[in-house]
Amino acid sequence: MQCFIVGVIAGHAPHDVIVAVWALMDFRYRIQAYHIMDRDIEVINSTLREFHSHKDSILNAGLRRGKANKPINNWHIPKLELMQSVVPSILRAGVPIQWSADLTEHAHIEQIKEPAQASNNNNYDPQIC
Amino acid sequence: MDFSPYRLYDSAARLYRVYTEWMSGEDAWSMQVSLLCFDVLCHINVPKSQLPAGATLLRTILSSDKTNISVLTGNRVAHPLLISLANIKMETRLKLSSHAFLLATLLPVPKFVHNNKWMKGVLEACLIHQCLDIVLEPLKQAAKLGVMLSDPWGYSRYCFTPIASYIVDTPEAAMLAAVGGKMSPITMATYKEFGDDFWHEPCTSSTTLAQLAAAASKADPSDIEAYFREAQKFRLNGVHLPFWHDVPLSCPSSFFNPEILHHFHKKFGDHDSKWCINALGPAEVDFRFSVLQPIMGFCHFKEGISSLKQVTGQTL
Repeated sequence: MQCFIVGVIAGHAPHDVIVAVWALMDFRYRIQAYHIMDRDIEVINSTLREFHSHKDSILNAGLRRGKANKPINNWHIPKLELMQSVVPSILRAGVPIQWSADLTEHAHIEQIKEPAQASNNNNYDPQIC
Repeated sequence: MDFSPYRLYDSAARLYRVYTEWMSGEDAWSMQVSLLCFDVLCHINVPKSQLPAGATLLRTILSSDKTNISVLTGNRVAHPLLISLANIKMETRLKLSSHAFLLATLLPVPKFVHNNKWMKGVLEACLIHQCLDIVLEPLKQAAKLGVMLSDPWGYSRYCFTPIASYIVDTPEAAMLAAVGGKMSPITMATYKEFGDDFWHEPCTSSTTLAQLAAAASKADPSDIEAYFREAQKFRLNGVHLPFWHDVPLSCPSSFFNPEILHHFHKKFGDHDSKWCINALGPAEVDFRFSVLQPIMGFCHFKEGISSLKQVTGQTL
């Protein structure tokens, strides 16, 4: 879905909205690399700046809507703020892909769910541990 | 396994730094740089050693998340804490078949009978922090004093084990960082500042602990309700002793690393795709998705995307 979205909305959505969505997409793909160089970090920073310079068009077009389709006129998205700390974190602790939760959620299946299904549905804790 | 920090460059001229593993980052380097190095290089930027010479850094990765364990029936939830090691190379650690994550403990999933809804959250946060405090005690001792461990080749190493990363979703990160809801766990930003286009000042452990001490001077920490009200003024969640308060070299602003699945893929599903649907109208988006050529290895949305309820990492 992410791979197609920019192509899908092209030509219909307002130009600035496409730029903003594209910038986020670019950001998202670039930080998933296994090797990130100083050059890439500059690009990552510039895509994030690009998004922030175009983000107002999304609010102006009333595209950010909450319940009952009412437009929301703010950017209170915690994950937007967390995106700012991606680059400092790469510099300090290496690429973000190594902290993906995909992995731990699969580990849950292996460590918790399989033993739980093998148990007799009573007193899970001692049987799993 | 990596045992020593390194700086990787893409050419001998050292023009561009390459970042990959945790050990290639700046944190590992600055922790390891010994006093000896400091004298030899006389480099201005080299910080003073934080570990004794000859010590090995073993960085712990923790991860906790609530997970459903019952199939179809009941509503049983487990809250496992998984543990792994950042020294293991990514190519091994990221493979599921290598079993790099081990179950450390099952955290309690309490139900409180208190009348106030917000009190339940505070009590749960206090309980989880206390449990982590107990469970991670050996780890803390090893981080403070060091411990002799043998490596895969049989050599003994003098190891220190600070926390490198804690993989959690955003609300739990806020709870573990001891900040209140709607606050960023890693920076000083409040929810009103989430859209800002610059990086806010990091919320370090010393800042939070100083604020907690200030709150404790006004209200008794054992009186949770009064203490919470005081802590709230500092945008904290009322936990008096966060589990990381005595782990050296570990600070919530550095161990809550950005996490791909929750922070980026889910954000796309929750926000970006909604903007697009609103921009084009659901019918148009669905039509445009349905006429795409199906490609092997990618999801094809015959019915469109506007009515998707829950999106997983794969469909995104």
